[in-house]
Order: sequence, then C-alpha cells, then structure tokens
Amino acid sequence: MINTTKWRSRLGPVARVCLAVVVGVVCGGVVIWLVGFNPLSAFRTMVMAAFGTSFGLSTSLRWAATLMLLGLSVALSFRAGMFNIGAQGQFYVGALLAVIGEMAFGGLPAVLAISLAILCGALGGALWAAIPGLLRAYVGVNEVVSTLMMNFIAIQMTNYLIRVPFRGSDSAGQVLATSAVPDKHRISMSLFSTPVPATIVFAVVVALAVWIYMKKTSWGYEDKVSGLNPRFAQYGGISMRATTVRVFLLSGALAGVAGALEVFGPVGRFVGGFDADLGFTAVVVALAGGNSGIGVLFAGLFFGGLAGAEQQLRLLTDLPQATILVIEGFITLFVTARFVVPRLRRRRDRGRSDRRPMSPSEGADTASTYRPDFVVEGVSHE
Amino acid sequence: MNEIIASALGTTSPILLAALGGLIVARAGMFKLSLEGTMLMGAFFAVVGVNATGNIWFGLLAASVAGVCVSLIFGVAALFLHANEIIVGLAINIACLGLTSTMLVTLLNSQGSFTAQGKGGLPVLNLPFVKHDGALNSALGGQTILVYLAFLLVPVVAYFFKNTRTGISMRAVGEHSEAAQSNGIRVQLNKFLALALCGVLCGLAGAQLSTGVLQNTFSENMTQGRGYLAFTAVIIGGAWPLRVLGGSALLGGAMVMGTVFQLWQIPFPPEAILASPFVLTILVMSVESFRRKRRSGADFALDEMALYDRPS
Repeated sequence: MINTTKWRSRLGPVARVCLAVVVGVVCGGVVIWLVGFNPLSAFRTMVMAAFGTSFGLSTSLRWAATLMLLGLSVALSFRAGMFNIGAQGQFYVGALLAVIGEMAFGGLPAVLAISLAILCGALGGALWAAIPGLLRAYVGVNEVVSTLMMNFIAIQMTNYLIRVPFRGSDSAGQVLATSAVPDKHRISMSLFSTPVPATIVFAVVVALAVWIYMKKTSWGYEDKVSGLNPRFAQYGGISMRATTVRVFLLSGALAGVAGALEVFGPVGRFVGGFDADLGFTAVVVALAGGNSGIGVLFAGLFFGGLAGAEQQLRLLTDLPQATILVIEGFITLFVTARFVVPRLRRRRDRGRSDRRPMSPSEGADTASTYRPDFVVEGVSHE
Repeated sequence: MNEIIASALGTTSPILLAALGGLIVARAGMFKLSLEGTMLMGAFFAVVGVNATGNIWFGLLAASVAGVCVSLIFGVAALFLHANEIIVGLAINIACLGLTSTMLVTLLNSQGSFTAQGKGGLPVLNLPFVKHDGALNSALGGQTILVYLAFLLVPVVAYFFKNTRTGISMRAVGEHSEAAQSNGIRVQLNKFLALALCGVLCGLAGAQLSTGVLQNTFSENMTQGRGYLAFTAVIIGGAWPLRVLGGSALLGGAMVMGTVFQLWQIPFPPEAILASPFVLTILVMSVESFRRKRRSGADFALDEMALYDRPS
C-alpha cells in the first residue's frame, strides 16, 4: 500500500513552491505583456540567455553558486525558526575578512593560503551573525530587526575599511575597492576549459554537507524541532539558547564563505557595495528550496539562471533587465502564500503532531499571529 | 548653519512621512518592510502624473493612489493569502524596484533617469511675518509643503490614535486582535485601512523625493534605502509618534552630518556617523527587550520565538 499521507506531506511543499513559481512567472508575463512585449518570446529569450550559450551558462552557474551558499545560510536559520535576513551583512564582512586573510597568509603555498582565507571569511560571517544571535538568545531582541540593522552597519563599516586602511593602490576613481587578489589565489571560473566555475562544485559539496547536517545529526534535528515548536523542544531538553547561537554562527559562516568565494572567484577584489540586495534574493532561494539542503540546490540554479539572464538580456532584446526583478518579486510574493483555503487544510491536518498548535486567532479572520514586538505598549494606557 | 538645518529638515521629512505610515501599520499589528518599495512607486508615479497633466496636484494624487495600490497588494498577500508578512515586504520591495525601472524604460522611454521638463515642482512655503532672505526663513522656511505636512502630521497621528474611535479600534486590533474582534471591531477592515493610510503617506514621501527635492526627476532606485530608514525610525520610536519624529530626525541628521563631515574634511569617519543610528536601534531594542523580560519574568528566548509564523 502506498502511504498517501506521507507522500502528500512530502509533495505538498514542492507543489506549493511550484505553484508560487508558476503564479509569479505568469504575473511577470502579464507585466511584460503590459509594457508591450510578447511574454512567451521573452521567456524563451530568457531561457536562451541563461542556459543557451556557454557564456550564459557560465554566468548563470556563477550566480547559482553564490545564491546556493547564501540560500543555505538563510535556510539553516529559517528551518530553526529564526529569521536571519542579515545574509548581506554577513556576506560583506566575510568577504572583507577573506581578502584581509589572503593578504596575511599570502606567503603560504597557494592552496593553504586560500583555504585559510576562506576560513577567515567563514569566521567573519559567523562573528557578524553572532551579535544578533547572542542578543536573541540572551536578551530576546527581535532578530529580524537586528539582522537588518547589522546589514546597514556592515555596509558602513566595510565602506570605511576599504576607504582608509585597506584601500587598494590600484583602485580607480570613485569606486572604492581593495587591491586585486593575485591570480594565483583566484578560483578558476572555467574548470577544465568548460563553462563550469569551480565555485559551483564547492557550493554543491557544501549543500550536501548541510543536507547531512540537517537530516543526520542531532544538532540538525534540534534545529528542526526548535523551529517547529520551541516549547516542545524545550520540554524535550533542547537548550533554546545553545540552538539559537549555534544556528546563527553556522548561518553566518555560510554567508561568509559565500562572500569569500565571491571575492576569490568572479569579482577578484572587495568592491564597495558589490552584489547589493543579494541577501534578499537569498531569502527567496531558501524559501523556494523549502529550507532544505537539496531544495536550495535547485532553487539556486533557478534564480542563478534568472540572474544570468538579467546580465545577458541587454545584448539580446530591448526588454528591460528589470523585468527579471519583477518576476523575482512576484515569486517571492507568493512563495509563502497559501492558495489552499486554510480552513479546509486545518481539518485535514488535525491531529498531526508535527505542526505548531494553531493559535486562536487563526480561526478568526485575522491572518497572522505575528505581532511586531518593537511596538512599545503600555505607555498610552491612562 | 542655516543650510545644515534646512537640509536636515529636507532629509528628515521623507523619512518621517514614510515612518508615520510605518507607525500606523505597526500599531495595527503588522510587520511591514515594504515602505521602501511603496515610496519608490510613489516617487515614480508623482513624476508620471506631473508629466502627463502638468499639474503637481495630480502628481501627488497619482503618488498616493500608487502607494495605496502597492500597500493593498501587501494586504491581499498577507491577510487573504496568509503569506508571511516579512517575506511579502521584501517581495514588494524587489517587485517595485523592478516595476519602476521597467516602466522607466517602456513608459517614459528613458535609461537611468527621467525629468518632466518645464513643469512646476512642489509649491514652496516661506515663513509668515519674517523677511524672506532672513536667517530664520533660510533655516526653517522655503521648504516644500510636504515637509511641513510631515511635521504637522505627527500630532495629528498622535491625536488619531489617542482620541478617535477609528484610531483606538485600530490599536486594539494591533494589540489583541481576538479581543478586538469579540468586541465587534472588524479586524480585516481596520488592517486594510491602516495599510491604505500607510500607502498614502509612503506615496507622498516618494513624491517629496522626486518632485520636492529634485525637479520632477525620477531615477532608478532613487529612494536608496530611505524606506528601510523609515522602518528603523519606527523601531527607534517604539511606534510612538513623537519618538518616531525623534528617530527620523536622528536618521536625517546623521545623513546630513555625514555629508558635512566629508565636505569640511573633518578627520572623523562619516561612516561611523551614518552607522550610529543603526547601532542605536539595536541598543534601544536590547533595552526594551530587557525591560519586557524583567516585567513579565518569562523566558523570552522561548516566548519571543513563538510569536512568529515560521517561514516555510
């Protein structure tokens, strides 16, 4: 007998993501049509641009690698019920620390130097994420806001560091940057003369490692349980504080590694404000990948393809590049939406233990149980 | 000095307008990160409106309507489709950046930026009873009407939430939606009303950027994170009008001081000044969380986490 419940619970999330992608792409198509282009030929051009040529494929895979690593970083925290939207800041700090590490260890043999430098990147990202993590665990600060703030602080801090102490001697004009990473420490962007960058191999290996962490280790299990039901997790003997700090450290380290690979791979130096908004795309990648190690691989490929298409589009059609952003935005809009009427779902799911207990407000006509906790109450009560 | 005050007023006002919008939705119990995208839409449609009609008031109307539309999309996704509010907020910011840049190319046939030539900008008010070229007027006067509107709205919003029936209902929805509902307050309606008000304010904030600060010019991503600054101001202010004004002034002031330090070549990193409001926000939140913990005695590491809809 086929266990239908099990399959439904496995396929449900996949179907939901697919639905969101389809609805998002259709909405994007409507916009493309409204601004006077044929959506079908536009989509064909996008697919061609992203995967049709060897240059396009190489660009797509280059972005896919970065987005996979950042997506894994976000997925790790989302899965544990923590809203780390600070991937961008951790990415920047990791990237800069990796460049500094490369300068420090430059004298060592190339493989050792680059490994140490990537470790520095991981350390940088982890340290940057540790601040909101510790604040969350020990003071109870809302991590959505604190990670967002840490992004802005990271941008200003790195801007200062590359403007004054680490300013590149060859950095030209207005754009601030560190010195270029020497060629012997660059990561190959075309392995064995194919359009496959080495970074994507690295990203796939990391994704598998994260998958094993999530599925096969007790830490990964603790993360999952804490995300599903923190109260249950605590009664089961899981320390929420330890889990929180660990998740933030790991999540930040992954974002830092993404930054390190970015400066040693495609970019070649730390440029002020490079790859802006990548951290938000990473949130979409994580959600579209169902917060799982394997799912993020596919989501990373998809959004890497979109990013690759964005860069190539200018050469192929008059269609504005920004339409890619529109599609991305619409997919994000729907990726957490529930198109199935929640009332019906609830009846079906009743009695399943792996769900968060429904709070009373979900039965009412309010949609979200989340209350922004920065709203200070009690001041106006006379 | 006068120029510094004047430019601080100018930078503060769009942040303040959007922050007041953010305050209203926060009071109604929503977590709206999409102030940025809504502002950008407002900035774009203000220019489109002025360009099409030649009348600044139609520009402002177009900006408000665009803001309301974007805000209502947030409402539909978050309240009807039960999508996660934080994710929807990010989505709207991405989509609005894409939409405005797309329409800039296709609707206005421009790359990078567009200026509605020869159309009047926002009306400017001078202070009454003082000389037009006097010190007082050059510091506090000569700003666009939206600047003064932003500051005037602070007591209005405070009054709205304290003394009007709608405002109190809205606050009740935000503080305890089930209790509000059992008292006959229509939860969804109040949330959508809050979103619409926020849309108008963010739209006007965008209009101030494109038709007030600049001469009817829209350029790609011209808000440059000011929506997030407004969100920050709401948090610094704990969603209280007067404190939000303080937060906005702090952020606007920091931006101006950053430029001033660079211009005067003061050997202090302007980046530190620009980063300081965000550090302050984290400190304010820490103190607030700490006080809440002391008050309730609950294990916050657990309780706070249970507040979320887990993103999945």
